[in-house]
Amino acid sequence: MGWQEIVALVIVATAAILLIRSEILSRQNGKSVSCGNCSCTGAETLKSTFDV
Amino acid sequence: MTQTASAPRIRSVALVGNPNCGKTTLFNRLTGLRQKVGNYPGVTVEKKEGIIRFADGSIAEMLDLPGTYSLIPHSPDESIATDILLGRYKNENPDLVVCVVDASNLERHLYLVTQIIDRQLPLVIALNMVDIAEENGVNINKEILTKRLGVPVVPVVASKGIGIDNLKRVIAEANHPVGQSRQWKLPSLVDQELNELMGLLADHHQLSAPIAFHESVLLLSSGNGSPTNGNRYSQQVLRHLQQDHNRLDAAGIDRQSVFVESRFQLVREICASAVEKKESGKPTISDRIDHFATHKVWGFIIFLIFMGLMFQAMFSWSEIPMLAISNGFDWIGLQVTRVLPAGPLQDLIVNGAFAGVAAVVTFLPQILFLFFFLGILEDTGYMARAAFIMDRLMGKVGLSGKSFIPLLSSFACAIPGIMATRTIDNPRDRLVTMLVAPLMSCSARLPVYTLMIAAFIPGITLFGFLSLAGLTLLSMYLLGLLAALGTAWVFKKTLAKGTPSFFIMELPQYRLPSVQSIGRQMFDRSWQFVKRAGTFILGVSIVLWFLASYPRTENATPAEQLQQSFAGQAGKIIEPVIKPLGFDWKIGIGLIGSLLQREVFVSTMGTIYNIQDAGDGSVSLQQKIRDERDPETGKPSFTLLTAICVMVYYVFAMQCFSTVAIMRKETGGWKWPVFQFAYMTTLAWLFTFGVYRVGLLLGGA
Repeated sequence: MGWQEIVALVIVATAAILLIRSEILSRQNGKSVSCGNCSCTGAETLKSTFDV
Repeated sequence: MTQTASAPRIRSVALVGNPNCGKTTLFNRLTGLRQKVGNYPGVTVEKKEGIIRFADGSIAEMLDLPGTYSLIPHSPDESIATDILLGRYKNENPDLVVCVVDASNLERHLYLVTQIIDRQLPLVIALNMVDIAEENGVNINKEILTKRLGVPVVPVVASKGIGIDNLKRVIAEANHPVGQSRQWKLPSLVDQELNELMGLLADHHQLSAPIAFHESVLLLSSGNGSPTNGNRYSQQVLRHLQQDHNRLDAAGIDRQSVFVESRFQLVREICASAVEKKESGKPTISDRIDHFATHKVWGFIIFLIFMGLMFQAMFSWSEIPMLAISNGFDWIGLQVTRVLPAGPLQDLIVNGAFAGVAAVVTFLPQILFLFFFLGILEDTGYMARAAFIMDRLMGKVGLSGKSFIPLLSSFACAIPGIMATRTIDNPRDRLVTMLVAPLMSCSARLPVYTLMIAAFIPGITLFGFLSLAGLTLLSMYLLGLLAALGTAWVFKKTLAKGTPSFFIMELPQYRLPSVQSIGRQMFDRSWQFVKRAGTFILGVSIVLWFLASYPRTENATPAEQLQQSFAGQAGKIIEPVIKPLGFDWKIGIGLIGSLLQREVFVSTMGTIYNIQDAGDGSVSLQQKIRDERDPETGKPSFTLLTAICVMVYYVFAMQCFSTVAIMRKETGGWKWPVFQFAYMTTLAWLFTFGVYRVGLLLGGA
């Protein structure tokens, strides 16, 4: 395994960890559910009124 | 509560008012923030917080609340505002309420003002849009209004920043008055019953006088003996209430309208003394435009022409900037290959990261144009007209025109669309609108459509100005709209039976779109898009490069390597499920990758086609997809029919985890988001299968 492959695999592992971490953090915080296509930040929870 | 720089006079200010009176514009002026504004009711559906800084260095927390017509809420967004004004939020009252009032429509706006005055909260009136009122021949005597209401009245023009410093100075003053309570007169019998009930509520439930008054009005005007949330009250209060209802009914008093009418009587008196109106008799410019824009035939045609122009322009205007971005990325990739010798790291950077990010960022110009047109739609006041003319069509599927604004908002993104359903008072209508909103084509689908159209739709122009590409794009958006309406009709017949609620919407005055507002919205949205490409899409592209490049196979061609990689094997696993749709395993990789986010499909295609072709940067992704051949048959893997099938699949498929998350939040559980994901994925498969089979019969292969 050459140096290029080692660096590439380290980058891949870092990217994977950061992706998973950011997804977990955003769910835990419960505030950032924005898809990133708009500038919304997510909504506060409302009581469910859907008894249909 | 907020920490202040020096001794604060007030700590919290609540900004309230009727929908579309300019609250958020004023909020932005007072706090320096940049919350979204628009010229239609219902832009703000959640409370927004900011900090207001005064001249003496002190600061206070400012809350921008969703618009409400009264303190009796009819929809979830109105509840947010009324809960804060009634002290139910954190059991705290705001130190000061600033009520924004539209000067050109004073009579209706003062109704809420009288309710807040009865609530006995310190109050300042921001008399907004005085310029428009003057243009319409309306002159308001500020001194008389101040005297009659008993609270300060400050004229402002929030959109132009006029009167803002004066308003800040008045807000910063100490000892704000709470206004002259209960100036309106009720019939003596109603007054007597009201006072008795207030006394009972204060004794039995320890309510303050203003809250006991508010609750008493609600209880007396409620249905016969059965108030909403009746279990909140003691048996003695409920027994007394029943007697009150009987007495008032026997006296022939309409309990629901007597309070509204009495209040409006006072409002009319105040307006008669404080407002001078010159009747020109001529229709306003807005009236003249509305003669056509809200016409039952012309209105619909104008709407379709606007949408048609929007998609034509989006396609043709963005060609040159798209090419420039694409060439820019190719150039950067070339520089990397010059600096870094060939090997896995170079492969990762050029064919993984760059190819994936470039494939998505190339579509930035189209995103910009989409938000430019949506901004014009919102800022001119046409959005409310579009909802009005669509009301009849919405009625046919069991919804009202109120549902159309969330659907139109979903063209940008389903998340604000789903949040905008908070303005819908009927819970069943709201649920159905939320369930179908993600069928509207959001901006994340745009890169998928554009990639397919650019690769396979011929560059033909019809009638000299209609490009086939633009028409195809328009047809995908219309397909999404029709799918949303059709599905809503089915849901209203099955899941959420019931008659649609009445649609009452105030049509705002037309105005020239604000370049600053639209420019800011375009910048914010495109920045979000680029940021997403530089973080999430970049991360996914890097991980996908690994999945598409490993495990390494000795002496294999790039195409064989891709086939035997982790990603290739995953694509092969789902191939039997998607084969009936005309999709091969490579599209399967794209479908799996884009489960979280739709535009990942494009970055995935960019990465895997670059890996397969060993990073031939001289050929565009569109060309690579066109040139792709099935190794077994030698026929093209991607055809016009495949491209149409991919687009149809993405019209229907959910493929957005953020939408699932917001559905869970707004509905309070997993039941509806799971149902939504399942029904949309099923529809996507069935419709794509149908289109593919019909296409094959017509010789589309």
